[in-house]
Amino acid sequence: MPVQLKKHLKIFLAIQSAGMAKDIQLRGNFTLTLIGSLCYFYLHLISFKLIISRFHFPGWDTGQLWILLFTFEIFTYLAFFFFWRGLQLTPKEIGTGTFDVLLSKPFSSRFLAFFRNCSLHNLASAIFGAVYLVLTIVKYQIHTTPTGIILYLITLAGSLWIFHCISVLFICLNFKYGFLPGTSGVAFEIQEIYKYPATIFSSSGFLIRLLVIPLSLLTTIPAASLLLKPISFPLLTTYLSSLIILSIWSQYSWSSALRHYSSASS
Amino acid sequence: MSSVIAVNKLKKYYKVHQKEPGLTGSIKSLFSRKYYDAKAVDGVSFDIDEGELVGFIGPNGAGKTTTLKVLSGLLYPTFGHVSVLGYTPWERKPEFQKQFSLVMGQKNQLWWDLPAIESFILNKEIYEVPDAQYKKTLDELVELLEVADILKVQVRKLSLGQRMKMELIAALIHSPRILFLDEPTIGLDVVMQKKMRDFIKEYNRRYTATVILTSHYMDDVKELCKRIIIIDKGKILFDGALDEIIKKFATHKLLTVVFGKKVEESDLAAIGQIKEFEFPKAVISVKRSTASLAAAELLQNFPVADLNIEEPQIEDIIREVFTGRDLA
Repeated sequence: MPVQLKKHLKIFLAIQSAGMAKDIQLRGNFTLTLIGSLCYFYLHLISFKLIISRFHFPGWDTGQLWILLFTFEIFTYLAFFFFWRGLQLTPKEIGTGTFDVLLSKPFSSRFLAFFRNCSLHNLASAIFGAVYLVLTIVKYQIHTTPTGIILYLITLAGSLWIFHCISVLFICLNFKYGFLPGTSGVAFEIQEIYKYPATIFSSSGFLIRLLVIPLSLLTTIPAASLLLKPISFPLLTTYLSSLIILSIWSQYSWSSALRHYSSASS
Repeated sequence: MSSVIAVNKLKKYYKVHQKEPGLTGSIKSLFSRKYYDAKAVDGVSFDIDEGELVGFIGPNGAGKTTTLKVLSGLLYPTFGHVSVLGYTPWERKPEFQKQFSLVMGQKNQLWWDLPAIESFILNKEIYEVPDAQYKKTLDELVELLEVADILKVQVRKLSLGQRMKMELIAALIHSPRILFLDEPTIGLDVVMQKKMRDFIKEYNRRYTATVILTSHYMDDVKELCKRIIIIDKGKILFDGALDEIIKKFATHKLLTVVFGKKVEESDLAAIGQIKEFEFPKAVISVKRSTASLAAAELLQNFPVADLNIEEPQIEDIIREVFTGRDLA
């Protein structure tokens, strides 16, 4: 396992260093997307201020809500940073047959498809989110511990993994039904769900709870971990079950989807 | 020599959706769709020995690329048994994938906005090529293909020929034992085509690599392959030495005559089928069995200044095989 992990990391770094070299080389594009991304970040900030000033979320005070919203920001931009290029390119490649190139490599095709060159401008926004998160901790004198920070990082990684698994499930549809460009952004389009604390959905109907709560936990769990806020047993179980079920489901779907790959004629 | 590739009764069928034209057709297809089974490969069998350089030829849609894709593990077959280097390709075991390379003239693996060297480094990591071997292989390939001066140039700035050379290096950096080349010379000018052919020949000779080549250019096949497999509509029409095609399919020979004095075209009709007539030259197609008799008759009854008996061009034979027409 450590050997495999090391290899994944090595290839990831090789892809990223080439990708970053590419991003920086296209200076004009890099500068524009960076500015656009930061504008979007500040637009989010304005909407957060509105949300916090107008609404009350039981069990979450203002400082804690800011932590949740900046966690949402960090999570969203890290998801964009890691997965967006792969999500954009993979359906197209499956449709045109360029996916052949990835599939013939002696390495996990899933890894190569989804962990393409990350987009630096999104990393910049995620870093901005992290800076604001620290400023919030200082401003509201929020108590946290090294354990809280470690738990935050672990659960943030777990949430990104869940997000990745959901994306894989949608992308797999391309193998069976041909080019479905809409599958690239589905996981991003539902981001409103994980902007708010999961607890606000607890009193909703069964279907909402089944579909929405696991997603809203993607940010609630890391934020609660950092705040050392107790999480109810059902929510924790839901989070862990989602992690396990989606990991298995996505891997199964990916393997069987590859059987349907028909490539494209040359 | 031992077989490195064994294919037995391979079939690959696709389910293809047939849509009626126009918006009405699109709306109809939302509710009900008609499908048919396209037989891309239909019961193909062959063996290839280590170090062989085999040409895989056929018209568009014959099943060449599909066969290569099954051999390289990209596609699952509908039926049949395939073994490549002792592995079942579609199991996609990394130890198998490290031993072959698939080069597609119409698809590229290089990063468009970066110099090709960056893609080579990435492939080095993916294929786990040790540093020393990587350096040695890269140096050799760069020398063979004469690309030292463009290694650090963005791929997008390279010409098609230069890009194809870089694609080849990226594909060969892990020194594969088997090379699947799918139309590697497509779109290249004649000079570059020749250079590519020379490289493939040299690579095959130097590393005893097994090479399967598909191409629409007969020069590629004639120059590189001793053995060819002709495939059409998913079935193998011929598998053997290039020379054997002539024996098997060429039922006629061509007599090229240069006349010393004026001859009427109609007078030559009795000799055979006139393919070309422009005084003083005529090209007449005659049955192989009667070629010498026809030549004797020409010499005896016509003012012949020069006479040549030739086999038809291999391109013509293959074209006729595909169209199913007589070669006369």
